[in-house]
Amino acid sequence: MGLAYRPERVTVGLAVTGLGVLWTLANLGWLDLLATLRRFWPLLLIAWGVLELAASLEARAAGGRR
Amino acid sequence: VRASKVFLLLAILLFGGLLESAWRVREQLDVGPAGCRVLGGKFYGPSFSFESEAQLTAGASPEVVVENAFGSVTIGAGGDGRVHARLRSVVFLPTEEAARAFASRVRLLTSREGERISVGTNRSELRSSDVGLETHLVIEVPAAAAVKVENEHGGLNVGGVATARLNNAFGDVSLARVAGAAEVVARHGEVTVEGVGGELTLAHRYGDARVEDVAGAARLEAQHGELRVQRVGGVRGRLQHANLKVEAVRGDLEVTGEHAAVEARDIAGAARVQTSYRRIAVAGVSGEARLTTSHGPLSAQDVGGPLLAESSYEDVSVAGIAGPVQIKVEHGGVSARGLERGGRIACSGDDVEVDGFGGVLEIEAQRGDVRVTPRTALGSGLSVRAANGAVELEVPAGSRFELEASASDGEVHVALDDVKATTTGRGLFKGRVGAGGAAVKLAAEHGDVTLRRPENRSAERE
Repeated sequence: MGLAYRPERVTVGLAVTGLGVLWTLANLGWLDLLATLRRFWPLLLIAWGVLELAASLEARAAGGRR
Repeated sequence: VRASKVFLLLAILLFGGLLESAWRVREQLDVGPAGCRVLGGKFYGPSFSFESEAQLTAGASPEVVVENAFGSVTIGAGGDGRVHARLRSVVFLPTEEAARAFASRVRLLTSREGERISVGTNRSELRSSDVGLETHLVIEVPAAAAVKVENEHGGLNVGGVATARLNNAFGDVSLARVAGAAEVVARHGEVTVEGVGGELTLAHRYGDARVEDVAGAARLEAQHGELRVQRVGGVRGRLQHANLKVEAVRGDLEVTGEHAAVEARDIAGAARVQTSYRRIAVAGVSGEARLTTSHGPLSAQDVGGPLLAESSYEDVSVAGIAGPVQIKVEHGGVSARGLERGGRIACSGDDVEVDGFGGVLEIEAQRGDVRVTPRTALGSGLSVRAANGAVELEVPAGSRFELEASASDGEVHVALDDVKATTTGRGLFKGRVGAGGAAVKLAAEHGDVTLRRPENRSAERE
């Protein structure tokens, strides 16, 4: 049985969405895009890792039920 | 592991790397000390200055020793029997509070041990810190002070002291009004020395130097720079990839160089120069001149004594030589005017032209013509031999000599009206010009020998 989502695709989706939001806020003058990105870009790795963990647990649970 | 995961990981890391690089470029790109744009470094961004000072009573003839780095050192007379030192620390930190806290750890260190007074800072204790710190010292010393300074990454300005020994790197050095001897070692900076009462020793690399008004002799060592020297007691120099321009020397000039040009004027003593690949030009030498260069042109003008000039692959030009000359050129020509006491010229590869000479002159040329033009009636000995070249001699009216001219594989032309032939033959002419006198021997191999009046020169050439 396959997962309903693929973690890397979700990560890319989050990254693109986050970049768009931050860029827009920067264009509005609410933040410094480069400083913000530089400070928070490791969150992408954290988010991806969490999604991978969740996917792994989900796959294990699905295997146990069978 | 799926390839898409590897690709995503690499993409995220690359993204992060790009962000970090962009951040560094934006925050730390600045103009460096030499005008270049640099990344990083401790000496950029906001800075704050803090001052402190100290004073010590000096002895009758104090020795002041200064050590510093990353800052300028200025020393002047006016200590009124004391050594007065002021330190200006420049701390590169974002806020004044942080800079002040750091500056409180910087100390001006002074101590006296007998006649010796030491001035410095404790910056070596703070070396491990990642904070940019400049320490600028301004020191007033008694005029009788012997000063010794070690500095790097900063300028050095010293004046009005008894003697000076300066060692500086990565900064300009200015030394003036020294009563006695001075010694300067400098790297990567400009050097100016003005007014030294004793001898000067200057060792200098990577930068230009100007030296003026030195009572004693100047001993110079230079690499990769231009030196201009004026009004010194004498010059002894060693040059490597450096050029020397010297004027008004009250003693001898002695220079050895490699890839070094030497230009000298008004030398009261002798001039001895040996170099390579660049030119030697001397003018106004009272004593003898011994000039040797390989792969470089050579010129000497107004020499009061004998001249030895040796060169290769370039021409030699001399004029107004009071003593006998000895000129040797390989793969180059010779142009000589006003050789008052004759001499010997040996040349290969190009022509020899002598315009005006006195005394006995001997010329030997290979693969080139020889033209000799005496300015006055010829009465002294002359010997010319040309191999694979012609010989031309202009004979002014009133000349008197015994002529022996020979040309192998060539002809002898004697266009004189007062000559009496004694022996003539194929390529041979012996005779007496005027009332006879000294021997003039002209010999050409594979070339003609021609004697003519000066006034017929232009007509014959036309």
